[in-house]
Amino acid sequence: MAVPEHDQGDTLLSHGDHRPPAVAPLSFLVPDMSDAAESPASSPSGLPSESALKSLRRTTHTQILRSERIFQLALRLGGVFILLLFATVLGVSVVEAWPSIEKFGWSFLWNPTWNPHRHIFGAWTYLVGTFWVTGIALLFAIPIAILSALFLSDYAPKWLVGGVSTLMEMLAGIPSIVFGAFGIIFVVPLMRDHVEPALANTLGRHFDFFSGDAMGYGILSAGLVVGIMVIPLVATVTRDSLIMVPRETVEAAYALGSTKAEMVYFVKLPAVMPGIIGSVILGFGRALGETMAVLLLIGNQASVPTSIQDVGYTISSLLANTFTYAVIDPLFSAAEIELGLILLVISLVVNTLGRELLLKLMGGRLAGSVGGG
Amino acid sequence: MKFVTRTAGAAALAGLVALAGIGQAQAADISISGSSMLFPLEQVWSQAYMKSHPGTHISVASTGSGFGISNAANGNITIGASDAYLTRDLKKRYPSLVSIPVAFEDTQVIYNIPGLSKGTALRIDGPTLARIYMGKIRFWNDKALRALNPDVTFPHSRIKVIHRADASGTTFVFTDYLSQTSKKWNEEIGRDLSPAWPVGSGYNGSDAVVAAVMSTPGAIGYVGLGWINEYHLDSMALKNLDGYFVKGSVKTIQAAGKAALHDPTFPDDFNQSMVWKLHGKDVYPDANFEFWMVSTSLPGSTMKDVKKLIFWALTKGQASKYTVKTGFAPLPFTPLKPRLNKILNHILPGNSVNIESGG
Repeated sequence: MAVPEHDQGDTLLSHGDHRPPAVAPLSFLVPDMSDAAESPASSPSGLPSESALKSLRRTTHTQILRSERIFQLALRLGGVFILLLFATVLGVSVVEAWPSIEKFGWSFLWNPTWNPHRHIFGAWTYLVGTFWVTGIALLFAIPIAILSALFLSDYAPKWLVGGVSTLMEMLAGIPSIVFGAFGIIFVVPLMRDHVEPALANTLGRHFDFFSGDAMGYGILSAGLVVGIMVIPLVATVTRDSLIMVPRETVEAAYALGSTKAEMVYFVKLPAVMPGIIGSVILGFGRALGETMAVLLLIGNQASVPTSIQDVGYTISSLLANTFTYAVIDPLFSAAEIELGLILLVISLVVNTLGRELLLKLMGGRLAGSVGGG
Repeated sequence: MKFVTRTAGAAALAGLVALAGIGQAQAADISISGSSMLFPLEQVWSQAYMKSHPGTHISVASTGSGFGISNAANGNITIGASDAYLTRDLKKRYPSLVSIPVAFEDTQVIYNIPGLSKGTALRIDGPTLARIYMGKIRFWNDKALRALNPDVTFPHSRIKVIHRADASGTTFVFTDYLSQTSKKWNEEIGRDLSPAWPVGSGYNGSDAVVAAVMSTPGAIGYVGLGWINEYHLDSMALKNLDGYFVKGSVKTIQAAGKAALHDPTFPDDFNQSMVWKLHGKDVYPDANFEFWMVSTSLPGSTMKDVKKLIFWALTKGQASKYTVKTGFAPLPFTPLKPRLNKILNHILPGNSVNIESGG
């Protein structure tokens, strides 16, 4: 049998009994193939003649190769489009942000003054606010998410698993404005009337970080509500990776005499660490860019929070609040676009670092299949 | 209902207008976009005007004053609606724009003081208000507030400053009053649609400000006349140029407007703040004109339609069934024909309009 020169389409036809395969690869791209296939079959001896076979092979080969090429080209276009899209977003942002980048340089990052009236712009307060909200959200979400994932994978009765898992996945799909509204009608009064006074009267007596005027709105409420939005994200990915832990590993742990809790803690959790880290990175991205819910709850005040009860401002909510106005002044809009660019860079860096970390922790196996930052 | 339209309409139409505005070129096709405050008035106007002037199509959208000004200048829309006048900076950036006053509005100070009975008359002056908004006065029983209101017993509770988070004309008018009355505010913060607030917490839209003030004990905030009427809010009486404490209402805003229209030093395009400038016992010191920004480089036929619309809006359109009902005070242009004539025939280029005949 001749060594296949081309690709799979070629090998398929050169092997076996010299008949075209029942379903040619990509036959949907080659509508006239059935005609070509019929003519040799109608030869009187029942066996196709050598010349007919040759011509058949040639035509089908060229047709398949052509369709293969078209398909590859389409795929390549898709890939190139993503690259182009990314380059366009980045390029337009940099060009539009240039007046601000040029004027303020690196000091834009740590300058705490943002005063459109005096044409002074600095990102510091918004960066700090963004990290506060993201930090509170993750601190709140990660333990709850991991606990619920463990419960669902190992402890929950079967009849409960399906329902709870579906609910969790549905939670992840609820629009953020709904969570924002929930925050205003439920979380803000709860914080204002109960949690914040209680915090101020206990921890607040010793640490200023927990005291303050109970206002309800602020980084705490915003962080908690974003945390609620992050929980399903982290929990579903963690649960999925817990389920994927090989049965043999679990049984080996039992065989060595572990209790169930020991098995979960010493075997399962370390095994799914990469999955958890990947899901946390996903959650970080979600919390970082969350706009509407934060805008409704954070109190939108450009000052660096010194207490967990303080109000603050995030990059995304500033853009949502003032960008339509910023277009009136080129430097103002440039500064806001530069803020957007910073968000973009942060999420790029975090995603890349997360991916590297995942690769390292997994020692090369399964890379990208779990969580995938 | 009006407030539902205000917010819902704003959100829904914000995207639409960009599309509607860009393609417009036909003769009797006018697109108005900008100030979210003016939006409800523009809605009732456009409906009434299209009914009485078949063949004219007006599309209205609420996109924010900043959008209105910049897009009226570059020709994307026919008329840009704005709560703020054209400051020197803006005038320099958009030299083709002229401003036409179309209604009166104001900004009033609302509050939520624990233990204070509803209907208590509170008085405040600019410097005190500025110190509250700069975080210098932190408690309601501060001596400055007690001195202004000797009959009121204030609780010792923290003042929670509430302001707008989005760029807003209401904020511009409010900070205008603070800038005119407090030197410190003027130097450190100034007036702006979106200033750098030293303290407080910000909310998106006047509805959110009202909600935040109502739900936060100790809060102070500011909104326009429409919201005061809609929610029956108590507002503070502000000290005016002659030392009188005046509460904002259709009557006191109109008193301010009349004083401005009769003041010969007031420019014909009204491109000047009327905050803290006007004398009179009843003059509310924090009232403002709402403006339509029109580019003088509009094509002749469009300009003709725009002039007709402006003439109608400034005369018949000022009826209280349009203005007062949507939270504005009417402009008294009918008895002020010379002013109206100047706007239509001198400020705006093109064929003259006979202001004696109906629109």
